[in-house]
Amino acid sequence: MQFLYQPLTWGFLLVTVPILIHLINLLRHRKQKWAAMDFLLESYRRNRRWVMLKQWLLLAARMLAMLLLVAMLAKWISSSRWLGMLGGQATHHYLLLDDSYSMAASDADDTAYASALRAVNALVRSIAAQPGQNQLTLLRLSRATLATRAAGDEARIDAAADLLAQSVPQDPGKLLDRLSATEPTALQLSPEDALELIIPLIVDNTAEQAHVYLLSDLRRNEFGEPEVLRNKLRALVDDSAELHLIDCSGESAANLSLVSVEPEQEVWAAGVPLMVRFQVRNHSSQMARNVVAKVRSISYAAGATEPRTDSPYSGEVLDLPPVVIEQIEPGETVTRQVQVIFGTAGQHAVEVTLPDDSLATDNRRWSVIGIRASQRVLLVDGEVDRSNAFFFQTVLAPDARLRTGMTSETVDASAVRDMPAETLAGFDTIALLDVPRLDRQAVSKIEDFSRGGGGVLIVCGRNTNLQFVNQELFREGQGFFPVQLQQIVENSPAVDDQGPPQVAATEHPILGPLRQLSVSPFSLLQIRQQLLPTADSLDRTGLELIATGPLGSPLLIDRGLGDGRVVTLLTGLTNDWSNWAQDPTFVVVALRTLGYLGSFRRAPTSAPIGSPLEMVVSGTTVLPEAEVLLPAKREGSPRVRLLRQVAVDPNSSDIARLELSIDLADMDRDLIDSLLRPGIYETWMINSQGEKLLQNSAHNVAAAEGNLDRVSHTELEQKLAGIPLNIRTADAISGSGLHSPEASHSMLLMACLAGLLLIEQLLAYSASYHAPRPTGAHA
Amino acid sequence: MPASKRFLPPEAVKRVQQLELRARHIVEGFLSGAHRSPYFGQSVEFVQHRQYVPGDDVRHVDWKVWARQDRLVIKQYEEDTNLRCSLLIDSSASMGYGRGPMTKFEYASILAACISLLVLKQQDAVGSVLFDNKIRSRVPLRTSQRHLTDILSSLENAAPGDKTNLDSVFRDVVQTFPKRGLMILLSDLLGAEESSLRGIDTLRRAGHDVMVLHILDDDELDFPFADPTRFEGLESDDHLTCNPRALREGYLEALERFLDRVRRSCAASKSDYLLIRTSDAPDAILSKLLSSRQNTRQRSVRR
Repeated sequence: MQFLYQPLTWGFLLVTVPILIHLINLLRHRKQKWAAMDFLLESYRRNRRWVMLKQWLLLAARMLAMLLLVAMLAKWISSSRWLGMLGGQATHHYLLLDDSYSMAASDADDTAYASALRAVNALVRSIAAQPGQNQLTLLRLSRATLATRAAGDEARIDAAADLLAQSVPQDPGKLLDRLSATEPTALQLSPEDALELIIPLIVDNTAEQAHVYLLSDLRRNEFGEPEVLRNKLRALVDDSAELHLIDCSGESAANLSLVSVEPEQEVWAAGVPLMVRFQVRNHSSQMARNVVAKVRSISYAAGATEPRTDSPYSGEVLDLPPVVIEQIEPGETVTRQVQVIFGTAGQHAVEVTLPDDSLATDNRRWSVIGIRASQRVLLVDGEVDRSNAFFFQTVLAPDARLRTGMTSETVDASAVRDMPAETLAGFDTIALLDVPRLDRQAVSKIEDFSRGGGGVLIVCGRNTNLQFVNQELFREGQGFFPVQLQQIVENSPAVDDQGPPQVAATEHPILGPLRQLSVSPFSLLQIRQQLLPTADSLDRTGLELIATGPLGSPLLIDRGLGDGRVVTLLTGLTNDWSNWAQDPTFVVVALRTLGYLGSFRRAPTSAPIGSPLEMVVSGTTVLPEAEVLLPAKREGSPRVRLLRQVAVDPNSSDIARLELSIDLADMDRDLIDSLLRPGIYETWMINSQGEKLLQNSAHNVAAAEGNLDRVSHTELEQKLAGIPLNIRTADAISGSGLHSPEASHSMLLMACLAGLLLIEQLLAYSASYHAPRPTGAHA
Repeated sequence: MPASKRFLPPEAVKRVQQLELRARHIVEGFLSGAHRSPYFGQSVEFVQHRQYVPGDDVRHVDWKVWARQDRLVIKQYEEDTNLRCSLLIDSSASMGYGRGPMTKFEYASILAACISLLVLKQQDAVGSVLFDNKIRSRVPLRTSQRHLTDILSSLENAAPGDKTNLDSVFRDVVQTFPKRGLMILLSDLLGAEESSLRGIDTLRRAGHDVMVLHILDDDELDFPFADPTRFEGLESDDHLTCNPRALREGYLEALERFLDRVRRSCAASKSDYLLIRTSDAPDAILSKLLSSRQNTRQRSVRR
């Protein structure tokens, strides 16, 4: 048994009121001394059964009247057909509103979301005009997705829904005012989460007829391969739900989407040029020409920046030369690079903006680049004279005026064993240069270092002990050495310089850019000896070739180990092994390799919209209150400043943590909307010395949602064949609303109540509970 | 408040003084008075002849009959005597009921006082008996005007108490008052119906002229109770918690049957019966009662 207004079911306790009154009357009767007891007792003996029967009937009638009254007010919903005639079967209208950012795509003067809101308005008004019990649940897909993200299977629709109306008033304007103020989010959304939320409700509430209205723009992203969607719709249909798909968009529109903005995996150090790569995709059937991408760098000089809410960024904004993309073919993604230099260490950012088109949300992206003063490289040289380290030292510090962004320290192999893990963790990369042997403790430390995200560069050479390498460093694939070594091979020297270069670069990020050169830079490079790995070990997954040697043999290998990477050069730097150390390409290869290896412990440069914010500060005490500056709603408007308490680690007062994630239950709608905006989120703390500590987070939209290609109604009906689906356009709904009148049976319940009250009055009269008329003359 | 004022309101006295209480049946007085006597005496009203027997006073021989019929008969005349009026006042617990200005006992006391005043004014004798299940007080028959004080005093000192048992009480009364007289019973007759009716019959069989003034409270006649009530018996341990309105109809029917039985019983024993509400004015009731008795007596005499 179910009721539309569940809280009113407490009213069933009123059933006890007649009993209580009866009991109270029993207790509060007055005493009367009486002489003519014989006649009274005689009357009682004669009428006792009838009087008792009438009293019980009267009590039952009053209790039943209470039951009916409460059932009527609470809108009793009956599961059975004949009882449903009394209670009136409720219709639950589920409106699922797509508020993904593709709904913001403008078509002429209108957006799909505006059309959807008009359709919702018309739908709700039509529902309000329908007789019978109508419940309304309005759920935006973004709220459903957020609720599912936060709570998984425990997600509750009451926390996610924008509107849960147990009945729809005749004038639903107030209900809709709140919805009218909403805007599409910057999320990529599919209806699956929302359907997942409502399916249990529909399955459980067999007493009510479910009508599901899905208002969407029918983009191919969500409806192109609707297998999951099909299964969920099938589940609804199996539970007798009525499905309405309301198309809120017009035609497919052309749109350029900024797919990514990512700095290269190289050295991120103050004063060192950094290449930032961005990709633009043309989501249309026409070629885009002369696309101008604006690039801005935002510098947050550590200790010199104050939080500012009146500007889009607290950092110093510098417009970089725009990048012009001559043409982008339909469906093509083009990649461009722009060079950025940040002079100081800090949490800097890069912003790339495309010109306005039909969908503005995906025209701008950000990337946060944590620039350090320098990266540290630990050179472990196996040569007594440290000749190998010399080459790297020269590369890393060629001149006092030139900055490579990396500093190095050189030690012996034995020093690694004695070096504490914390000290080792202070380096970004460890370069093992022709190290003959390593202590087992050192091997273990290096492995832990790499698994923790550090980079390891291994350069072989004449000191390399195959047996040691295979047994201690490779260890059947468990160690950090990437391959099992078979033998040392000697390559025949090149006859002349006209032959093909012995070394060839692959598409690997380290040397990939060199492949674009018209002439191989490795033409002068001679590999005289190299280590040959076994074929079996080369077949292992996770190995990437960076460069091949003579006859295509593996020469430079990259392999992942935990969070870090290990790059291995299977030749030496001394003359008897190769002349690479004297070759100009060595500088490039060394810098790019060390920059590459040092890039895996970095924080991500961006996160998806709605990701939780987290800032952890260690080593210093911070004030308890931190502030978070959220991206402004529109350019030029002030940013939202959010104050939050910093949580101090109970085990160490030097570790403070600030976490901020979307909480549908506890956050107000405006704050949730603010946390769903793309842009830079600045988190500020102040340490005990008064210094401001900053962590930036870039939240970017999912680029795929920018594909505005739509599926036609016919195509969708084919894909969802077998599922009864009523597809209508939002304009049609806005114009005519719904036409599905239903009969109301609630009056029957009221009639039953009236009849019962009449019976109760008759019983009361019969049981002489009505006061007698004043008597006239005495006998 | 003195008993004379309590039981003899001035307005009642004023109206009662204009009334006259007459015995309807033959009563045995001790003075010559206004009431018929069972004794044949010197009165002028001839009653009958009877055969002369030796020892009869020859002065009463009807010589005219002897002359015409040659037989000796004695002329007998109705002798007028004074009235011996006994007031039998029920002082059982049930008479203590009354939600109005007075209880039934108080009402009965007023009636008794008025009748006493009336009787004494007529130079007749009046006495009173207060009883419940036995005689509680007794005031002998007197004609003295001061005797009223004794009756009033006995009424004032009495209070409703125990159960009613008229049968045993009236047997006692019959033995106490062997001479026939007017017995006025003031009672509600509640509590012991059979003994009450048997008691009345006992009085009547003893030759007394019996007048039953059946006094009931308005509540007992109308049963106006509405709220849930616990009724507790005045003369019994019975009690009943009920909705009075549900039982009212049955109660009134039972009461009516009781009254009907009382009426029938009184009629059968040729006793006068009058049902009196405590809301009725005592003097009005008394006036009505005596007027009706006067008419009845005149009709009886004419016959």
